[in-house]
Amino acid sequence: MDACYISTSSRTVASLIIQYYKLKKVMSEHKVEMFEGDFQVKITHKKIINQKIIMIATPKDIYNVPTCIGYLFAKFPPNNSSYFLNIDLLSSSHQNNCKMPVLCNKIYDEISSQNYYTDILYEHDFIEDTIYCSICDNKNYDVHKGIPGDLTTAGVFKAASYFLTLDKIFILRVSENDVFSALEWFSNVITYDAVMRNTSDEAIDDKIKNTVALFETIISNLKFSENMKQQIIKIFTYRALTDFPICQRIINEYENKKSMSKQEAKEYFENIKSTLMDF
Amino acid sequence: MRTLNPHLWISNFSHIYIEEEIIDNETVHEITQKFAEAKKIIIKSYKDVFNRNNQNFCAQKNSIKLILAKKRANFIYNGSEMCQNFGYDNFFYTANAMNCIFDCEYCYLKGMYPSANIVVFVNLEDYFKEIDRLTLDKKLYLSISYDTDLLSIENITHSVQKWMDYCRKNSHLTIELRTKSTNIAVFKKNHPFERFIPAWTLSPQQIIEAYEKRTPSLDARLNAIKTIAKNGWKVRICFDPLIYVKNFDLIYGEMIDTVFKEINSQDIKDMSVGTFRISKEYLRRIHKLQAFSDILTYPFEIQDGVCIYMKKHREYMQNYIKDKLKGFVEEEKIFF
Repeated sequence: MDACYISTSSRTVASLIIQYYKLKKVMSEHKVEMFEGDFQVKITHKKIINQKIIMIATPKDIYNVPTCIGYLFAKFPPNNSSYFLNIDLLSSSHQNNCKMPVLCNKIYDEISSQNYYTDILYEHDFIEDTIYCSICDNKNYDVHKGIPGDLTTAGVFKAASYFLTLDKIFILRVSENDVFSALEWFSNVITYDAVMRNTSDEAIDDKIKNTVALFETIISNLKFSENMKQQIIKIFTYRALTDFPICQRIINEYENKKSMSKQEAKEYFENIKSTLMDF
Repeated sequence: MRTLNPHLWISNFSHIYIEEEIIDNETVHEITQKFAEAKKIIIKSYKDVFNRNNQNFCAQKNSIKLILAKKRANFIYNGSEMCQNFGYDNFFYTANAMNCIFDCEYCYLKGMYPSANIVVFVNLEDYFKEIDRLTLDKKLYLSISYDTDLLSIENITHSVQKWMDYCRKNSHLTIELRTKSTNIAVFKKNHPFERFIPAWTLSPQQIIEAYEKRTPSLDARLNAIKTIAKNGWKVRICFDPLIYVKNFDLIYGEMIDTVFKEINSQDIKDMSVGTFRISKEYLRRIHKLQAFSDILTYPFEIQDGVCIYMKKHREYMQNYIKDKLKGFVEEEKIFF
């Protein structure tokens, strides 16, 4: 099951996320507080898929947050369709100026003097802004008026971007009243991605993937060397994409065969290869 | 339970990243004024955004951002051995933009760049200075649109106009502008001259639909060629890359018939023909993005680090196209 991740260091936000996604505590987890639940996406009238939502409640200190994020991804490994949302409350200084939710497009990390840039690819109604990340919470707010301040964002972003591509990482700062609308937006993104993946070329890829996987199982009985395997799978994939019936024929022909010797394996290899290369 | 929100990608160029050193540059002002709604983000170096780790090229193609930068070194490169030099001695190429708005499945840029965002270098005058230096004592043949499609973003950058103006003044320079775009206003408003060669990449409509996402149709490209030919421009036609597909002869044969039905061969300066080839390293990277592309999973032969079609397919494709073209244009106009 695909998993999407949410992290927050705010108890208030955490309780709203639990309420929104109807999450349950991961009872087996004692080091960090984690909550999980299912999120259903309707792909077609007949097809519904379940996504797992996993929330981690992190501490607020700059050093432990990246560790927790790393721990989350190690415990529940992500895949290509995983998204990550870091959502916390707007800093008080920012709330004084404007209470609109902020989607982070740039992070300035005072410790390393580095800038990090998020990818903003999806439509949204938030304000976009830089998050100024300082070890001393209030030190620079006067200098950087209007920029929401933060302790942990750089660490969260760096940790998450180690596991996920940048297009799948969102950092949001909201007031308590906007948590649900922010989660609504996150859910829309997950839904959009799931539907696109299941209705586009990737869905066609699944048919090919399954056939290639079946072929891999078959050739494991034929005792090919690693080099032979790689060669033959590559050609098989090409033929599966361009002339599917020939691959079907090969699968039918070889599914119950087994090699008893290296010589026999070599013969099978040459036979399959010459059939596949005949185009 | 959730159902689909019909469209979530933000439009291209919703964000413009600008290097702080060029904030006051005139070209930057002109470009940003065209995108008044775009979010402007100031950066130190284009590399901070363009070269980030762990970007998703394919996802970024759905919402391409613009990065405005200053090129600081390496303005001109030696021409690649994988490209034709059309008989010119000093073959160079340059790139005052990186990446392309189109999304061709076979494009080597996916393996070359870590990001799908488009970088535009706004200091063309520095390119011109370098070319002035190089052309002091020799003639130069320069391709300006290999790692991008400059014509497709001409409304934003006006680079083609600037290159054209410069080329007209520098008699030692010949420029090739390669494109799939139909954005031909710049050719309509400028008088033709021999040293500036517009070059169109043409593919059969079936190939365009299957593998050249967001590019103009074959008809649209042919109309663009016809229009500028009427204005006196001699055009280079590039059947490159030729893609090995089932019924290759039927598909490509029909395209060539269409091309010469629509375009007078007198309007064609020359033609280039090349089968698909790609560096082994780029192919490895693109595979990670598109593991199930029928173009890229082909069992290529590797020659000097370059993946090429098997000899039997290569020769079959080249010979077929050569024979077909001979019926329409003089052989010396065709470059392989």
